[in-house]
Formats: sequence, structure tokens, C-alpha cells
Amino acid sequence: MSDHPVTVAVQGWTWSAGLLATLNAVALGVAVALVKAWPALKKIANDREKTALEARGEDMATMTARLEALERKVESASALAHAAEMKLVYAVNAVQLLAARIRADNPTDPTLLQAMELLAAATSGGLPGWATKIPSAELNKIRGTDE
Amino acid sequence: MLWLRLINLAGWLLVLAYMAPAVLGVLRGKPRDGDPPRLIYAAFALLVIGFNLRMLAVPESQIVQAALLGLSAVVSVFTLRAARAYGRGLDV
Repeated sequence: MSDHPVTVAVQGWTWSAGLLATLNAVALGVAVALVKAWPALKKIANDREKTALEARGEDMATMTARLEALERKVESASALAHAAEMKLVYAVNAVQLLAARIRADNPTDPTLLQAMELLAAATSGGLPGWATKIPSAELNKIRGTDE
Repeated sequence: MLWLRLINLAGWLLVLAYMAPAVLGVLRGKPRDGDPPRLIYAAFALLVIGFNLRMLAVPESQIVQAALLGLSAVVSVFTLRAARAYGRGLDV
């Protein structure tokens, strides 16, 4: 071990001694602060963990609220779709009632047949028969190229 | 090399001065949430300053070397503890 600092000390108050003393004080302060901050770290760790858990809880609450709103929307949309379907059923039945008389007069009435095909398309959601048939067999028949 | 050392000293002295309020806050026993990391910065600045000053002024001093190495070891332990206490936090 060198006795350099002691030599500086006995020479009296010089710049280097002052600097050394200041640095020693700063180093001592930082060392003491490191020791004193140790328990604070425990509290900080607990606080941060608590904050993270609270944030997660808030996220869950937000998600639950959004889920409930979504469920309500789905339920109202389902009710509206059911109402629309019922309207269609009533309308189709009304048209069938009106068509009953035409059918009694002439079961092969072309307007009646076309209306029935449109009704079938409206209730099944598919294309009317003539729309799908045109590109294949019917088209060949119209052209006269079928066998 | 001397100039580099002096620039280093100036920079890290500024760091040390900037972190002084945090160190004082811990010493007063009223640490804020951000004080432990700043304490680490201050201790690290002190290490850099100490090693530089030792090379400049007292290259053969064993006691200064021992003190610096001891502080360095303490700072490493404290850094690990602080890193564990803070965790990585939330996504940014």
C-alpha cells in the first residue's frame, strides 16, 4: 500500500488535496447512497408489479366491455335478419295467393312460370333457372347446335 | 491520449453533476422512482472519473485501484438488483 494520500494530507491545503478530498466525499456519498437505495428497490419492484397487474386488469375490463357491446350488436343483427326473413315469407305467400287464380286459368302461363322462377330465386338466394342455363344447354338449344 | 482523457473527464463530470440531485435525494432518504438508475449512472461516472484520474495522477497507487475495483463490484451487484426491480416494463 502506498502512503501517497497521507503525504498529500500533511502538506496542508493544496489544490490536489482539495480535489482528492472532494472526490473522496463524492465517492463516499455515492457508496452510502447505493446502500441506502437498496431497500427502496424492493418498494419500487412491488409498486411496478402492482401497476402492471392493474394495467392488465384494466385491459381485461376494456376487453369484456367491448365483447359485451359486440354480443349486443350480434343479437340485434340476428333479430333484424329474422324480421327481414319473415317479411319475405309474408310477401311470397301473398304473391302465391294472387297467383293461385292465374294458375287455375292457365297452368302454363309464361308470365306465371317466370314469376314462380323469380320467387324460387328470392327464397333460395340462388340465380334464377334461366340465368344458369343460358351458358350451357339452353344456349346450345337456342343456337341449334345441340344433338 | 491526454486530450481524450480530459474529454472523458469533462463528460463524465457533467454526468456526475447532472445525477447529483438523485444521489442527494437517496441520501436524504426520499428516493423517487427514477433515482436508483440515476444513482447507477452517478456511480458509473465516478468509476470512469476515478480510473482516468488514477492513470493521470497516481498511476502506482494500489489503494485507489482497490477502492475503484471495490466500488465497481458493488455497482455491478446494485445494477443487477435494480434491473430486476424495474423489469422490462410495458411495450412502448
